[in-house]
Amino acid sequence: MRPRGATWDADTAVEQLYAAHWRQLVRLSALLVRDLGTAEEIVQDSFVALHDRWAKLRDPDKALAYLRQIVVNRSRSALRHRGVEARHAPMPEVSPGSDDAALAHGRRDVVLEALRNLPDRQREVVALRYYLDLSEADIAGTLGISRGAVKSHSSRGLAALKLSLGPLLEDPS
Amino acid sequence: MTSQLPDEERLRRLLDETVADLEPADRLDAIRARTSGRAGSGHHAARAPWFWGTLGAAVATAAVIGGFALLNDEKPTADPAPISTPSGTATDPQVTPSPEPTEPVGESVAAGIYYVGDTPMGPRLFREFHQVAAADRLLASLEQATQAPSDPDYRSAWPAGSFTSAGFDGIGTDGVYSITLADGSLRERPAGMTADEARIAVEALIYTVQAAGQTRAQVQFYLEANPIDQVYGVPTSEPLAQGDPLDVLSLVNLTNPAEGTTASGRLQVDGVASSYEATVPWRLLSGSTEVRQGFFTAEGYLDRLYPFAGGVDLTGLPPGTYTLSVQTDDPSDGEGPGPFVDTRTVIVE
Repeated sequence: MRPRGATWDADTAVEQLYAAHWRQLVRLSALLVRDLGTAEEIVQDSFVALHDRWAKLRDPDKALAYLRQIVVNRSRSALRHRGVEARHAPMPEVSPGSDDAALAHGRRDVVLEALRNLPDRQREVVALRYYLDLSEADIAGTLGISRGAVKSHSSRGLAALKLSLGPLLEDPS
Repeated sequence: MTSQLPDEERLRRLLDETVADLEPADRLDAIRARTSGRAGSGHHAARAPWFWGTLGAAVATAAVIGGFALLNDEKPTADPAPISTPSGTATDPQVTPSPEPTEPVGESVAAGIYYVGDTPMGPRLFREFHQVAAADRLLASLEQATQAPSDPDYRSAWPAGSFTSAGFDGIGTDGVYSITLADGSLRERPAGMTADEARIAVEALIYTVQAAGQTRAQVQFYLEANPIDQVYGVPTSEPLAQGDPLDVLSLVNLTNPAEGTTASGRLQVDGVASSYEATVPWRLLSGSTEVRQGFFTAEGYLDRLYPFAGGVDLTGLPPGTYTLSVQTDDPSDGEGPGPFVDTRTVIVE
């Protein structure tokens, strides 16, 4: 643990974390909330929250882990506040340029729908584990749950997705 | 991570594909506009420590917890001395409980008893130390677990007289504890008890009997001579191991001081916690006014509870009654479930 804020100040930290992780964090949030615009808002707010609390972070090396935790928590809150009707809002189309792209979009809807149908914790564990490739310990820290719980959410989530995504998982094409 | 199943690899690719062509707009300027000149830019603003914001409410409502956890790799100092072990047979170097008590009748020992209390993560276990009869330590501990705890924030989930016998068969963790229920009605979850609380109530018995026997062997529940298939609705056909401490125990537990300790000069504090960055913030309160604050550093965090210890300087404080409060650190600043808290009343002379 280095002394508080020994090398980074909040502005530098935000710039560097933005450069390295903005896109991936927005995509993570999009997997959780199914909507690119919402995901951008959430991650933008999360960066601001990180900046605000910078002085309180005892270990700036953990800034990314902390930022990730804020993103996941806020994504969960956004889902809860969004309400039932809006949950069916489609992901905005993003420049489908070819038949391949259109096919990919169809598949994307299926995947996002399957994720949406998982309980919150399973969805989060699946996204952190299979999208971000985090270790069980890091997932446990991010979500504030035990490693045993991570294992169990992960295996249940995977089993549920095998049912709902069967053909896609069997044929990765 | 464990070995990759093909399914996991495909899921990985599928998730990648799903978001690969999502190109988020550039928001850096918007973030800069919102953060420029705000606290945290450049130097550290001299604000009050951030974690007290949520703590005030926790203390005010006395939704507070005490107790202690029996941990995987450390023995709490207040644990009873190991029971004598048959020589040459123990595979567990720590202990082997003896089904034939060797202590003189009437002697008592300190035993860790687990009770149920409320936390931000639902019901969890908290430990108190009580004197129990040494002669039948396992059953005496379970009986104590049916009595009212010292801390009014905790509760027992079991009626008095719930158990007729308790034993241990085997050596170390190869053995199996037996707990025999007095009444078949304990098979069903009582009306008004949540499934979560029932699960924790059964864990209270497992942790208590394991603490009394000083080995973490599995526990089989019986009704009369036969194993019973469920207790409070929790499946018990097979012997049960203890649940993961991080899912079962309060994540911060004071061991010392004891409730109502009288002190002067310096107060020694120790306990266990799993708290963000191993930081265990404490404060000393007079009524609701904070008179001292700081933090202890535990030996670790995340995967289990780790010991922490330190001192609180009492010099210059007027004599009177104070509250020592320790908590888990909450990096989400209130966005998570909130901190676990443990408190003790301390009398400063």
